[in-house]
Amino acid sequence: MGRLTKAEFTTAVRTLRRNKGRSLFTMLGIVIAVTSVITVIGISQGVTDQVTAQTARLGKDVVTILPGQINLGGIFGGLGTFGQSVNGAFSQSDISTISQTSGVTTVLPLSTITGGVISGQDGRHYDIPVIGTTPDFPAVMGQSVAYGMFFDSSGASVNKVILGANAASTLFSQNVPLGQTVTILGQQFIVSGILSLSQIVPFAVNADFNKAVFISNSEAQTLANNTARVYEILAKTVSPAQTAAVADRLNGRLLTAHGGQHDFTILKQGQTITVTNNILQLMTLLTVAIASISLLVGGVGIMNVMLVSVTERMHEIGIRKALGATNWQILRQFVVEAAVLSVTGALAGVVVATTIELGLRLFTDIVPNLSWRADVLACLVSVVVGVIFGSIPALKAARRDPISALRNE
Amino acid sequence: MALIELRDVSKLYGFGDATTLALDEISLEINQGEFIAIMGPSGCGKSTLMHIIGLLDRPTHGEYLLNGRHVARLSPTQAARIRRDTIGFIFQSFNMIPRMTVLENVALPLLYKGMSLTKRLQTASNMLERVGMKSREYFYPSQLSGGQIQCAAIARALVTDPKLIIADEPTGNLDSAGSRLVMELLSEVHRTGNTVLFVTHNPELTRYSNRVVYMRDGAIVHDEPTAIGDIAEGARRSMYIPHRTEEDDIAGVSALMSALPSFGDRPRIPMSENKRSRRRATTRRKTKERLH
Ligand SMILES: Nc1ncnc2c1ncn2[C@@H]1O[C@H](COP(=O)(O)OP(=O)(O)O)[C@@H](O)[C@H]1O
Ligand SMILES: [Mg+2]
Repeated sequence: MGRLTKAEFTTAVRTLRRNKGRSLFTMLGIVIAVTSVITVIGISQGVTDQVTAQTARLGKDVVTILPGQINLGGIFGGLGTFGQSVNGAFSQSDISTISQTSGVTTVLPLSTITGGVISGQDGRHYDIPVIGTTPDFPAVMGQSVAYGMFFDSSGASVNKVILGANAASTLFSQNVPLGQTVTILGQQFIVSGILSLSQIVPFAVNADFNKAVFISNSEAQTLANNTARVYEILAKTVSPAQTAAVADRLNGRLLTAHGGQHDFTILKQGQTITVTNNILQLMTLLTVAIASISLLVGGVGIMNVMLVSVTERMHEIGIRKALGATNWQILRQFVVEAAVLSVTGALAGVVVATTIELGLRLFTDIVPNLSWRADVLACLVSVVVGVIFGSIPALKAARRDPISALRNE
Repeated sequence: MALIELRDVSKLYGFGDATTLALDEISLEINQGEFIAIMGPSGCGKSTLMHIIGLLDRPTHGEYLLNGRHVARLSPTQAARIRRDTIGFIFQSFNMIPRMTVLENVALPLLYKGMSLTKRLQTASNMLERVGMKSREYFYPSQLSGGQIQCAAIARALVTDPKLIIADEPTGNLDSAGSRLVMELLSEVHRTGNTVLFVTHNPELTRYSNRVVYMRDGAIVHDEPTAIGDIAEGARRSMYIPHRTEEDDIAGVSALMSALPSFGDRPRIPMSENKRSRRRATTRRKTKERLH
């Protein structure tokens, strides 16, 4: 058995080398299938990990309140929330309504003003989001401060700005620009803190805190003549066990305050990631579709090449059968060939997928999760498909009478 | 018990109006140790008969017993094992695999026996030495003359030490020196107790055989035992017709056929004409049944 397989392997490699172009073309189908499966599994797993890490940081006792009516039902409803959550805003009275609700310990409003930032270093204007918030930001968001301090509730918070990690390097060339100044809507602010780099969730509704600067919400309102848009309010509750009850109470009170109009959405722990989850579901669905199609195409490609290979060597099959090769021994030669083709294709697919994932890591916010299990699964399935499809033409050839095979010159 | 026993074996090609009756109810017994020459004009079914005896093809009707076993009842794997172990087939067109060296070609049947690579090459090399081709081991078939390729093909047929050698016009593509070489090799195989069947158009080569079977239109028309070393009686009658081209060759054989006591003016037909036509009718009926 072993000897025959070795001889078959050598012959298979020789044959495939002789028809390099054809072999490479055949492998392409398998390469595409394996690449797409591994890449998309890597991305969805990676995004899930990132979202999980972020929600874990938010804590189970935090409720998120967003303006607008968001349908959390299906995949497509979920996708619709992207645009909506940007519209609408909360008023100062909404903030007080929430803070007066029993069970709420801390209210963290997030507002945004337009206009960008002028760096004190080069005097140039940067289109960086300015977020107004309160001193509770680091505690509620689980965000640590790398250098300096976040502004506190005393009057000393006036004219202080905190920079996100990426915003700091955009605005200033020096490593730790504490004490430098920036100008926002004509007013100078002193850099008093720099946040540590926080993990970013791709496709998330939130703004990228790494690329933003933070001032106190009251100053933001003053600067923007009370038009700073409060686009999100986080409410910390007394305990994780109470969160659900508090969320219901918030719902009731806000409904009353808004005159019965349900123009806001309350997300409890876990629901925060639903939007992202829906996209992941859709992606997984797409992967399965893409992978099935490319596997099928790959399989048919291998079948085609094996058909040509078998037809080309029909006379040789006849000679081998006349010399005493059994049907199975003839078939095995071609099975080995199909296996070499699909294994090589699958390995090439792993290499391409790994390169893509590396590229994603380097050039995007997505951190794909490389998993050997996905690699093995993708390879296994495509090799099985390749070998089964590749053996069909050989099976027909192997069953012929020696003389009928010999007549093909 | 005969080594080979054919009972009313027929072979049909094609269907409908294009049906060809290549073998017409042939019955033949061949014993172990015989050296048989098959003669007859082109298209009379010699190759078809050799293929059926060599298990490369199957009869449409009739029974074939090899070593007392019904061939029709063999599984494809059993048939392949018999081809591998007991039959050596030599083709007129050599049928060497062109991208393999002579040595690899000769070693091929041993691969299917599961022999190790070194042992395979050693055995094949020894066999090539026996046929005087040792110095050409690493040549490719395209680098050799016809006679040399046929010697290598004989080495390949003999490498598994088969009991039955079937050669379909082994000298058909060779000059007289090549023919002599090939026939001497077959004689040697025969002397060691093996059975040899060969097809030829050359009456001269019947000297090597101890029995000559004459065919025409898919039937055996004459079956003559001869002494080794002598040209067969039937073949001798056509000796003085010079033949140089293949057409002449065929014409020569045709002349030989008409010169046969049992054929020419048909004074002694082995089977009565009535019986023969009745048999043909049976075959045709069987064919019809097969087609419907
Ligand atoms: N594959 C085939 N299909 C149709 N007819 C065939 C085939 N092989 C042989 N024949 C026919 O069968 C007859 C016998 O052929 P063959 O056995 O090759 O004769 P020989 O070897 O005596 O020249 C011929 O008439 C030939 O045309
Ligand atoms: Mg012939």
